Amino acid sequence: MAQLCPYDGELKRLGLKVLLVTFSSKGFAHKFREEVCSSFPVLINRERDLYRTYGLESSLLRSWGWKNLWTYAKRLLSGQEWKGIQGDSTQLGGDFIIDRDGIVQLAYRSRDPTDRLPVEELMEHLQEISRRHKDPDSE
Amino acid sequence: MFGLGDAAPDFALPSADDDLVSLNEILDEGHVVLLVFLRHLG
Repeated sequence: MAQLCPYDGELKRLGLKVLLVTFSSKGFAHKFREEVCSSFPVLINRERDLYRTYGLESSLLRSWGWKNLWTYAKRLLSGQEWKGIQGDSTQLGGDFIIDRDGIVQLAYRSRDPTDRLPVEELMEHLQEISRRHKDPDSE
Repeated sequence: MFGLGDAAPDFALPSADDDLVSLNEILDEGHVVLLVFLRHLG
């Protein structure tokens, strides 16, 4: 998520709105905005019903596999602070792009915690959708 | 489960700043939306 912050200006220029959804508490959401990224609004969904509506899975096996443990180990070894687990560590995330007509243009549901769409790829999708809105005949 | 080309399910959720944020309202303002579902924030 932090990788998206430097693109804030570009996203605004393209007329895009980024919404972050978390099931953590409001306090943690504020802390996240202070420490990681304050550019985008954080929406609170403690019950995770929106996660389910958007088809995002919970998986103990995939959340705590070797790939994820290795990622955490590398972060700790690089001196990154560990804040502990807040809420359900098995809940997986995802990214969705919704165009101005409310149509899903990208649905990326993480298979495991390390599986997120690279920010460069997200930006390419967003730029393409924005371009199509400006020039509808280009489709 | 919905996929590409389907209508995105609408929602209204409170933000950390206590505003109620509705997907449809943002779309009505003419924005494209990137919706990022986070894991736990630890």
